[in-house]
Amino acid sequence: MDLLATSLLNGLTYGFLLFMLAAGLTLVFSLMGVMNFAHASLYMLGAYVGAALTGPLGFGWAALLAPVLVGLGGCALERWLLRPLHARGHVAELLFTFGLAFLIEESVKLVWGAGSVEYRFPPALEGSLFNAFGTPYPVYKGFMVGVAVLSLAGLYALVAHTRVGLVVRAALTQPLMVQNLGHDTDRVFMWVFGLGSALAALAGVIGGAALTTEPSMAAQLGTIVFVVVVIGGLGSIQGAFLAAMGIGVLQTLLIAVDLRLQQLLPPLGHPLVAALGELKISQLAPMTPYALMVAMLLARPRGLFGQREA
Amino acid sequence: MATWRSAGIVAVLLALAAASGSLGVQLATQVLVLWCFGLSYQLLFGRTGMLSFGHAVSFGLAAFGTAHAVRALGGVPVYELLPLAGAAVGLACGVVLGYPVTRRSGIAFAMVTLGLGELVAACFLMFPGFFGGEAGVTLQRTRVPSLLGLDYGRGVTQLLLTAAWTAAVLLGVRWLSRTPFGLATLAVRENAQRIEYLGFRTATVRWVSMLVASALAGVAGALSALAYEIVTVDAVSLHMSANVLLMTVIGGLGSLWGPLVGAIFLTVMQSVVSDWTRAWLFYYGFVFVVLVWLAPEGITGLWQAARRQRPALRRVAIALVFALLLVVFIETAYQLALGEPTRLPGWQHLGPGALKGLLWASGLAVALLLARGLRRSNDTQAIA
Repeated sequence: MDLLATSLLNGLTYGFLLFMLAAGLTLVFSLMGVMNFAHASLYMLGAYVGAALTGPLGFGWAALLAPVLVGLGGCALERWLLRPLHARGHVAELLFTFGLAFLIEESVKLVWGAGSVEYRFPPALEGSLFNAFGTPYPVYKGFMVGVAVLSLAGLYALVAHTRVGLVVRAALTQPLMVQNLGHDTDRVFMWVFGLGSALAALAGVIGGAALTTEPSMAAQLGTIVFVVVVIGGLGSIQGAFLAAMGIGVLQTLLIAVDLRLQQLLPPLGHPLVAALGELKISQLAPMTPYALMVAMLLARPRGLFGQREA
Repeated sequence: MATWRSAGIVAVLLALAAASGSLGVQLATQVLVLWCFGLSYQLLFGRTGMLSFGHAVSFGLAAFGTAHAVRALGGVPVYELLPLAGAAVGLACGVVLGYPVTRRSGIAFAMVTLGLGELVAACFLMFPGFFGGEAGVTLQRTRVPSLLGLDYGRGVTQLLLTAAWTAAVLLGVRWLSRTPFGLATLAVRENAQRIEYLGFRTATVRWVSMLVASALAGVAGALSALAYEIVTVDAVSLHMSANVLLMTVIGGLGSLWGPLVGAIFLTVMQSVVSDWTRAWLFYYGFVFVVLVWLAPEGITGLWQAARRQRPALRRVAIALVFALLLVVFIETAYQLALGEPTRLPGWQHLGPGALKGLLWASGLAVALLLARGLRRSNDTQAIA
C-alpha cells in the first residue's frame, strides 16, 4: 500500500515535469505549426544556466533568472533563425531544430564538460514535507509540483483571461484576420515562443536539480515528451496533460514492481516465450511509453484528443 | 554522360584507396557502407518525404542479424550472399515497425520514428543474448567460406564486395526512381491529398517505400557488420539515425551522389578531423545547421549552383574568414573550458592571458559576422 502511494506521488511529480515541457511544446506547435525538436535542449540549457547562476546568486535568483535568459534566447531564436525558415515549410523547421538540438548538446559539452555538473536543491528544500503511509515525501518534490502548478496556472490565466491571451487565441485560428485588425502577429508569435522556451527552462531548473544535470538529459526527456505529445494528440493541451500524468505514473509504478513476467502469465512451454518470462517488469519500464505510443497509433492514429490526421 | 563520368571517378578513387594501404581500404569501406545506408535514407526522406529519426533500427538489427547468421552458418559457402540476410532482417523491420509508423506522415511521423528508435534501443539490455550487452557481438567473417573461392581475410577483397553490393543498391535505387512506383513516392511527398483523390492509398505508398528503404538499410547494416566484425548497440541508437540524416542532408538530397558526398564528409570528420580536435561533432552539427538554413540542397546543390553561376569572390572570402574565426573561437573556448590542449598546431604556445584575449576577439568577430549575415538575409527576404 505504502509502496503504491509513494510511487503514485512520485509518478505525479514526474508527470508534472513532463507536462511543463509538453505544454510549451504544444502551445508553440498549435500556434505556429513548429514542432521544436530543440525544446528539450532548452530544458537542458535551463538546468545548466540555473546551475551556473546558483553559485554566485543562490538558488532563488537562479531559478528566476535562468528562465528569463533562456526565454529571451528563445525569442531571438524565433525572430532571427526560425522565422526566415517558415516559408520553406515544416520539414525545414524540423531539420533545423533537430540540428540545433545536436549543436546545443555539443556546446554544453564544450562549455561544461561531458560529465554531469554538481547541482542540487538548497538545504532549505531537503527535509520531508509530510509522511505518506510511513514514507517521507521530500519538500523539494512538493516545491516541484508547486512551481509546475503555479506556472501552468499563470499560463492558463494569461491565455484565457487577458487581452494578450485573447490575441494569442485569435491568432491560433485566424492569424491573417488578427493581423488585419492591427495586431503584430509576428511579434505575438515571437513572445509565445519565448514563453514556451522560458517554461522549458523553468522545468530544467527544477528538473535538473531533482534528477541529474548532464549533456544527455535533453535526449532522455525529449523523446518521452514527444511520446506524450503524440499520445495526447498533436496540439491538444488536455491530451498532453492526461498523457503526461499517465506516463509519469505508469513508468514509476512499473519500476517499483519486483515481479517477473512468468509470475503473471500462465506457464508457457515454448523456450522463446520462457525467455520472455524471465524478464522483470521493472526492466520493461523504460519502454512502456514507446509501447503505449505504438498501441495508440494502431488503435487511434490521431491520439487521445487530436483534432486531425496530421 | 555525367553519370558515367562520376562512376569513373568513383572507380578511380576506389582503386587509389585500395592501393594506398590498410588505412585507405578501411576509410573507403566506411565511405561505401555509409553511402549504401545514405542511399536507402534518400529513398525514404529525399523521395518520399518521410523524415525518419529511427532509420538506424533496420540498419542495426540487420547488422546484429548478420553477426548471428555468420556464427550459425560457419562452414557453409554463402559469404557473398550474407547481405541478403541483412536485407531480410531489414525488410522484417519494415513490415513490423513500418505498418504502425506509416499511418502518420509529416511531423507526427518524425516524432513517432524517434520514439520507435528509442523503443528498440531500450531493448538492448533486456535481450543480452541477441544484442550482446555493452560489449556487443563480435564475429569472424572468415568462418563463412566464399561462394567464389575468394579470401575475405584481406581488407581489399572485403572492400570489393562492399563496392559490388553498394553498386547494386545504387542501380536498384536508380531503377526504382524511374518506375511508376518511384514517381508515386515523389507525388506523395509533394501533395499527399491530391494523390489520395487520384485513388492512391498514400499510407500504402509510404509503407512500401519504407519497406524498400529498410531492406536496403539492412544491406548496409550487414556490410558494416562484415567489414568491422563487431556490432555494438550504437548501430541501432539515435546516434546512428542522426548520422544518416545529417550526412544525407549535408551531401544533398537531390541526386544519388549526394549521400556519397555526405558519406565522405562524415568519414573525414569521424576518422581524420576527430584526431585533431574533440570538437568535431560541433563542426559537424554546425555545417548541418548552416546548410539547412542557407542551402537546403546540400553540398551537391551548392556545387551545381556554383557551376551555373560563379559565386562572387567577396562572398567566398567572407565565408572562409568566418569559418576560420569560428574554428579559432571554438578551439580556444574548448581549451579554456576543459583545460585539455587541442592538437591543432599553434595553440600550445599560448598562455592563459593570450587564450582569453583570443577567445574574446574571435568570439566578437564571429558574433559580428553572424549578425551581419542574419541582417542581410532578413533584408533580402523583406524585399522578396
